[in-house]
Amino acid sequence: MNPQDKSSFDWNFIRGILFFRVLQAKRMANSWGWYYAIPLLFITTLALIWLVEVTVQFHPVYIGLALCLLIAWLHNKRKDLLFLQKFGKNRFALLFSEYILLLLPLYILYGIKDKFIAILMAFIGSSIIVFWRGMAFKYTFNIIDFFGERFIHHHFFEWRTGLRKHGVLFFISYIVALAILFFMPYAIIFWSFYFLSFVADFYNPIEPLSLLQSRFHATKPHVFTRKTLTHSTLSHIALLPHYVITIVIKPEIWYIVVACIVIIQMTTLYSIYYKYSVYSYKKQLAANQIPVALFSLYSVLLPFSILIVNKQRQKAIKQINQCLR
Amino acid sequence: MLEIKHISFSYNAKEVLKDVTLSVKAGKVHGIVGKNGAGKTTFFHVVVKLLNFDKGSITYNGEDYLSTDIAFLETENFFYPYIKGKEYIQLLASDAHFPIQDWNYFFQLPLDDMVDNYSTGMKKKLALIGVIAMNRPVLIMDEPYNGLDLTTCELVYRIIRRLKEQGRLVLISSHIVSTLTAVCDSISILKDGAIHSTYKKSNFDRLTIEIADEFDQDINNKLDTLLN
Repeated sequence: MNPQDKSSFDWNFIRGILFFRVLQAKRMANSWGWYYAIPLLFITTLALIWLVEVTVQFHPVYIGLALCLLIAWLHNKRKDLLFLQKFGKNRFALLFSEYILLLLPLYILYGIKDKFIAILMAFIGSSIIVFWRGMAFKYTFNIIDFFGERFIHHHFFEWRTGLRKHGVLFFISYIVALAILFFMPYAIIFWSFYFLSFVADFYNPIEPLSLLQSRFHATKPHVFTRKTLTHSTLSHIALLPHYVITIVIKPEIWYIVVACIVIIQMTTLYSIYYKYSVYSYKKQLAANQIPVALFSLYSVLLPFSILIVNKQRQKAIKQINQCLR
Repeated sequence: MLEIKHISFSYNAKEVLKDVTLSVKAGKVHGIVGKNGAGKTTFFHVVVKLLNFDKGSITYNGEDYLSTDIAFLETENFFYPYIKGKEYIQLLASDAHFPIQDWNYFFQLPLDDMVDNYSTGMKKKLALIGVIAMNRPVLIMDEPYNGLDLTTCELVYRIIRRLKEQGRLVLISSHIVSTLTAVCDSISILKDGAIHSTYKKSNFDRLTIEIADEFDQDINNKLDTLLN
């Protein structure tokens, strides 16, 4: 293997990567114990066959998309580009030795079921991820940032900065959720909760005192109320296409959409109030993940959740007034 | 006029500020100089109401004031994550038409970049523009020259002088006496949490001598021992 030669297709190089991965698998098996590893291998194979049986009824395009997302997740999780640098950065070899072989059992099973479009999409998706991932990420980030700045006022800085942090993942999830809702309208429930995980993170950082003082005023409490209302409205505007698709595709589950609207409204309010109720000029994060996640679970129980939100609001106002005294 | 009378502040049973009394008129720049740990930052935190004092009183123009009357430049500036320079100033500016680009002519900051990517000096410059954008009658600057190059220090001198001419009251601290003598009308030495002495502009040469004398007494002998 010649690490300087970055373009040549070298079987020794592929062997090197495979050998490395086999060693990795052996190390993992050693750490888990072979008694667990071998049954786990069989269970995984059976689970894979079951997964293909369950998903085979879906449109091949969706299966292809899911495979692409799986590869993208693996690519990020394993930090494959860093791994490649050790081997001389031959992306072509990585594509063949890693992603194609990794998903080979899935490709075979889907091939038996005539889902060739899904396999083709996964192949194209892996190529994009391996060869143009950085570029695609950069352009997607720039486009989201451009539209974020154009359509979201700087007073919604939590959203602007949050989209900068999670923009690409948010955008992909947003589009995938839209696509899934066409044939699985009940997925609006899962999407709403997933969306709330982004919202909770948008309101997790705490602004410096100077920013707090510049926007709120001790003698103008309505400014805070206006903030909470406009921000929760923005959540609903973002989810409007998903609500509409669900209602159009399956009108009889309107009550689920209403429940989702309630959950989004109450949890967004709670996230904002929580941030200010724990506000301190020394803090940089509200650490709201667990409280917001717990609240979102019972936010639909309206009389109870209204009481909780109102209590949190009182705390937030008290804390803000303390900072603006 | 900002009047600070007999302020005491304790933290964990340790008296950090002891009977601090100071008054600064509008249109004047007052400097605070002192060693590390002398209590300068604590003193400023008490004035901007981040900390509650145990005894004494602080009034502005004879009345209680809101912390929003004061623009505070901290030693180490914390910015909101993933925020851009321009957005930060837009959020702080009291006037929606604050001329951000005109001010940036002096500081040459990449305002369309995220602040997370700024260097320490760039962050300090951004915080300075932010403090100016707030347009408050009282400015408190804790070590404003930290991390700034010589040209920007000179620029800050000129900005402070102009703010003073506009009738703003400026309280400023620094470790370097020459940065204070360049802009201040009076300077107080804070020593072990108490105002040790205050010098008017006409006596700044005595201040320099006193600090040099103190340095001679405390440190020169030890340095001689260690380095010989």
